[in-house]
Amino acid sequence: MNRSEYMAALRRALSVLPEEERANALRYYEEYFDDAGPENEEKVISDLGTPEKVAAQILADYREVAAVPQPDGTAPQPKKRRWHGINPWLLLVLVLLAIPVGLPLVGVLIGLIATLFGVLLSIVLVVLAFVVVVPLCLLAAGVVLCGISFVLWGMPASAVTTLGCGLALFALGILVSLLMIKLCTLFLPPLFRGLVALIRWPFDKIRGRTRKNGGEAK
Amino acid sequence: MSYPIASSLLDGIVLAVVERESTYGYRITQDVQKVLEISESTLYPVLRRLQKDGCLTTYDEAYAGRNRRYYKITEHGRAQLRQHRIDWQNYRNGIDAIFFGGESQ
Repeated sequence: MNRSEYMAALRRALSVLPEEERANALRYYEEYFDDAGPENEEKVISDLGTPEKVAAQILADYREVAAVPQPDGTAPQPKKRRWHGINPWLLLVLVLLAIPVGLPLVGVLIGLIATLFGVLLSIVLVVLAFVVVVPLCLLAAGVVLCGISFVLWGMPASAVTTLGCGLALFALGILVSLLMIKLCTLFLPPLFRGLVALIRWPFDKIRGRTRKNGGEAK
Repeated sequence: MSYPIASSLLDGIVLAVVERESTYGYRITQDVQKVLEISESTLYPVLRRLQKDGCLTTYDEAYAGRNRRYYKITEHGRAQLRQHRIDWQNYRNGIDAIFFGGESQ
């Protein structure tokens, strides 16, 4: 290890110190090397010991001095715990005063959220009904028409026409069912995720941890 | 055999060295090492602490094309050193009385 490597290691080992403290310590040891002279570089390094050892001594002393801020030598006193921010009694009074105003506001807020939720739920139900009911109706109509055609055997032409229509409707019902299943697999997961993200959004906001971007649906 | 050196004793020694003449880190280390077995890395924390306590101040002086940081004793440092001398004398007298059976002056 040469001088510059030694100083770099010392700088790293002192990285927890405030900038000024670290600069002072590094300057002291730079000067120490300068004053010892380049011919004594190796001796200084071996005399000083590892950079980590040197740093440990500085850090230990720094903590000690930091705990004793009074330069006049009075005994170190543990810092008194103080309430930062609002006095708790004042806070209580504020809360009590805020209740008449706050309760209706909270009520309105809950109402709004409930309404929003209701609307979303009804939209989902309508879509679901549509998706389920339309194919089922088509299938049912097909079956019913086929059934009617058996009653109409007295008039073969009508019976065959009705049967044909029934079968066609039944087939259409199967097709629409397949289409709906396909549409569901395509659109339901993203819709669901979006919904979840929408519901989570206010909670994330409350936590205040929502990133400026990407806080919503991922 | 060497005795472990209390940090207050080291403070007094460094103050005494700097009181003779304002001097720089490397020289202080050399001077102290003439009489005490201390590690080279012991003195920076001591100097820093004495500085924080207002016993020493520093000033920079050009030397060989660079700035060298000198340590200078303050009035507060001198007062502390006087107290260290009194404390040391009492301490030494006590030890001497036990070692040699009589008070040394």
